[in-house]
Amino acid sequence: MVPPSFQESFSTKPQSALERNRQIKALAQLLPEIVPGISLLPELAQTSELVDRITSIHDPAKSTLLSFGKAEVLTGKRSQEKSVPIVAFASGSAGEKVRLIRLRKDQLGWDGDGEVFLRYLTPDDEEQGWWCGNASPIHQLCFAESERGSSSWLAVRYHGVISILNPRLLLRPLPKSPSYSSHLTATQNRQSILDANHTVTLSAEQTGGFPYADLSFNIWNNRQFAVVDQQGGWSIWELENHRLHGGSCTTKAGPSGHITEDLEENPDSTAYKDGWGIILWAGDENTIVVANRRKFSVFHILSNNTKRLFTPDLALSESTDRILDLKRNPSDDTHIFLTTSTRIFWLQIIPGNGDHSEADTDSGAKILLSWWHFRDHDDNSLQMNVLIEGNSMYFVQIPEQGSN
Amino acid sequence: MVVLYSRLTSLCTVFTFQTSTSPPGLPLSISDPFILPLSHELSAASTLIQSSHISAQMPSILNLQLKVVEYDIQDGSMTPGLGNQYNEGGVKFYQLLTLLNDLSLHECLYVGQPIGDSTQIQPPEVQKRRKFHDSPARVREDDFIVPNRVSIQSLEGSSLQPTRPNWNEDKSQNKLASKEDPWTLDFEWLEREIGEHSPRFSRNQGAIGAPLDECLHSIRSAIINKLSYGPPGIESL
Repeated sequence: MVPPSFQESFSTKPQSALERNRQIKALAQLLPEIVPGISLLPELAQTSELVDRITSIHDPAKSTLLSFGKAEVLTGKRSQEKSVPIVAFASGSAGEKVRLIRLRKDQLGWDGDGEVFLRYLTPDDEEQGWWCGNASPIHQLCFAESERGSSSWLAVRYHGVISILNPRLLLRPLPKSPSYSSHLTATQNRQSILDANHTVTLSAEQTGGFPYADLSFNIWNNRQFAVVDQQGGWSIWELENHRLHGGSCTTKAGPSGHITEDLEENPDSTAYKDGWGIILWAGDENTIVVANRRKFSVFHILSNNTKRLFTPDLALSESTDRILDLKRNPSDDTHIFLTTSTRIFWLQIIPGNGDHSEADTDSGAKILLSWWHFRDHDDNSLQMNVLIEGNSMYFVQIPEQGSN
Repeated sequence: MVVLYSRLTSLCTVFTFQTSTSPPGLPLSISDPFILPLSHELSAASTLIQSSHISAQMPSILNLQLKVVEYDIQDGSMTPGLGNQYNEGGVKFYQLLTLLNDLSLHECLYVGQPIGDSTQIQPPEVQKRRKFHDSPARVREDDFIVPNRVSIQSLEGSSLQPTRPNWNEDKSQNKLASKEDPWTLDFEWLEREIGEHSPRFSRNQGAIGAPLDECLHSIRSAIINKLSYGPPGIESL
């Protein structure tokens, strides 16, 4: 087990007016410059407590805070570069820090059997790195994937900013800058050869001005990623290295659109709009799937021209069902799983042809199978984890093994 | 295999989707869900969270990753043993990593057996733990970092040689430095010179008998004399 990096967290229990006033008085004594505006604090504090209490249970703006990927090993020679597996997850009292931990390769086996082992990767906090970013709560961590497995490109999504990291294992630890070190504790500030290596930042102003809802890397080109904002607007971006300018990295804008683009009617209702959205690549390198709580769309992208492909009716308009999660099948990039409040859908994404001008009725999404999942209809925090497995099995729990 | 989990409850349900290729001819199908039991540690964590000032009432799984743990068969071995028996019997192991709402990371190992197989599975143990003692630094001929246990002679002829100081004509004095640590400077001769050429400054009396400036002058003279005879100055790398 890797324990949390902080000892105490912010309390989300409701406070009495007396307790709140006592805290405001203490704050005024600590920061006298806020005394002129002290009368605004009680109402704002009450609203903040309510928001904290709700988001501590479930925040639709937050998705995956745990991701597995790689860190490049810098040996000085390009031909000898290799990578090591790492895990990235949110840490800190407000989930504002990125914690990178190297995965240790253990061998599990049985006494008397020296030939067959289990290859086991476990987090070893002997080698870990930290990154503070802009010190605001992290909403998503996402490593890029490629056809050969995970990559070393890591996206960190905040409310209005996306930062791209390229973690690397150095020959010797880098000295931390004073401004950076002030956000870390003494333990976290211990020098490590695992460097987060921040490369580029994408702000919401560049993508329409609305806060981000989701981000996804293109598995066929892991320097390309797609983002969707809380209003349904999506855009494609590409990472470009500028070797002549000190190896700096920039982003290049690609095609963009909206989830309701090319629709004759606007099926989106004001209900069930909590800012949740999801985007992922499926089918091929030019096809994206975008969804919010009530709408599921597939787009084929060609240069700067996008075309909406056919999507089946998931019976969302006739019910109170909401889309809760969307995941790609790791064994088949043309298959995705979609979860609503009541059912799981198994869908096939058929990529569009190269010419958008021809009538194309075969491409798009097709329902292969759907099933009731019998979970709570009002639970908006339902998520999926998909893994490749061939046989039906049942699970027998084994006590934790191979831990630190 | 699709695992459904939620932040509002500790219930994890698993669905298995079958494609038509496995086994051949079988139509697409989905199994009835089964419940994935959580470890005692996660249950203990839920108790801890309930007793803390965090208001969440449950284990509150933020994210969950279930991964298949692969078998590692050495040289295609077919010798009998528990590992081989489990591998051939279709027993599979899974690693479950769970991030809770207090941002702690938990892991545990699960085993999956084919339905109908009631063989008692013996938990595996850690046989080999690879530590991170190997630095990614690579030592090359043009690198000034000298690895341990490399004799001085092996560096002769390289473009950048460290200079080994010859501090004393008396080779017996060099023995300690040369055998154990060629880079440690031996100052025994200095201490000896101070004792021999400055009788007023003795170990027994300390510096009480001689004025400081005389002691300093004596030390300086001894160093100049020594330098004129033998030891070169320290050369930086």
